[in-house]
Amino acid sequence: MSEHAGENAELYALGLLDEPEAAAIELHARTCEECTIRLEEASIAVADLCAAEPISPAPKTLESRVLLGAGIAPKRIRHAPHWQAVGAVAAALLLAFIPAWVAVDRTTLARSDDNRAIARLAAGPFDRATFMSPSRQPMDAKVLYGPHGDWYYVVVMHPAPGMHVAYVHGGRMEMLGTVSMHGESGSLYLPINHKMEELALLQGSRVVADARLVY
Amino acid sequence: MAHAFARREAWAFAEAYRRFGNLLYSVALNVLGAPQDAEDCVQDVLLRVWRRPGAFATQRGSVRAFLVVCVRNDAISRARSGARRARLAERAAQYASLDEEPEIDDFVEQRRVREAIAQLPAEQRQALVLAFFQGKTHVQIAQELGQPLGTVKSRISLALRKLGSALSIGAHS
Repeated sequence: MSEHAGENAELYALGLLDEPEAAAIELHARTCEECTIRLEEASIAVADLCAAEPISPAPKTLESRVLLGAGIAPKRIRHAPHWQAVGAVAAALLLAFIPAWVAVDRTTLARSDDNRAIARLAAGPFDRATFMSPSRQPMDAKVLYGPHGDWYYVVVMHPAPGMHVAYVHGGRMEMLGTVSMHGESGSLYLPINHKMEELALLQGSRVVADARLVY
Repeated sequence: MAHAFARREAWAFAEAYRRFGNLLYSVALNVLGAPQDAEDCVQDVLLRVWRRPGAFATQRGSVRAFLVVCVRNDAISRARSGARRARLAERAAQYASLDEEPEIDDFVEQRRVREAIAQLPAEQRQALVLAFFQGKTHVQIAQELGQPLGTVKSRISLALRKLGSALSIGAHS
């Protein structure tokens, strides 16, 4: 195919072309920057449409089927690049030499994060947004955040175990962390220096509330 | 990760599955309807990509978008070779009335996309809904709407470009 993909780029991304047409577009795009860009834009739009559909967790067995099929040995699964592996080993060695009484548990870490959040709240101005349920009812959950979007503190009353916070942007969600439980309440401090305009609370893969942040 | 994925480094392939496995499986499942068929589809596509040098070029940019389109196109091919699914009609019905509140889990994403779809001109929206949510070919859509094939192709193309632009702007505004 010597001619540009044109509107066939969108039809390709939507899966509307037959195999010879699709193959021709793939071949042409390899040597045409203009068509590559158009194909990429169309693909992102389709991926965003797909991401807005219900997401089902893939069966656990699929990962091993795919990776073993690719000839990736199980021991290499989840391995990061070499330099990251070296770092992990160094960290493990360091931890091995730390006395037990120095080791911190999750609760201590969470309390430490709460202390940092409280210090932020006490030290300067902050904004807040309420999480709303799918039926647009306010929930007993809020996010307090720096006016410049440099930190976030999510507080939830009566959180379910394993509740996650995600950043919603660009048609996708990015997991930020898990809410730590403190009796009847839960919290998550996020020292992220990035203006996030929408956060979601998730229970498993289900979104139970969202909050819109205004700066 | 995109560069490492293009170089076919094992860790990047594993990482891509870790990040996008659920999405890819869901894309296949939403088209095919049967979990086993969806698993086979995802596995076949990923292994095809992995084994073919140059299948993904970094100029393509997004590994996520590339894999989603590969999986979806393969799933559509499989579905077309079999019986049409009632599931497509069910999903299309969700979009028949754009005023209703969505009753699905990822309502934040759904709402954003629905709002963007609702902004499209009616004839473009209709063509996109038939193509994406009902899985109809542009030939079938042309027949159903009684419009020339070229017109339908243009409407679908314009609809997707506008949608992509709207979602992109919405994500950065």
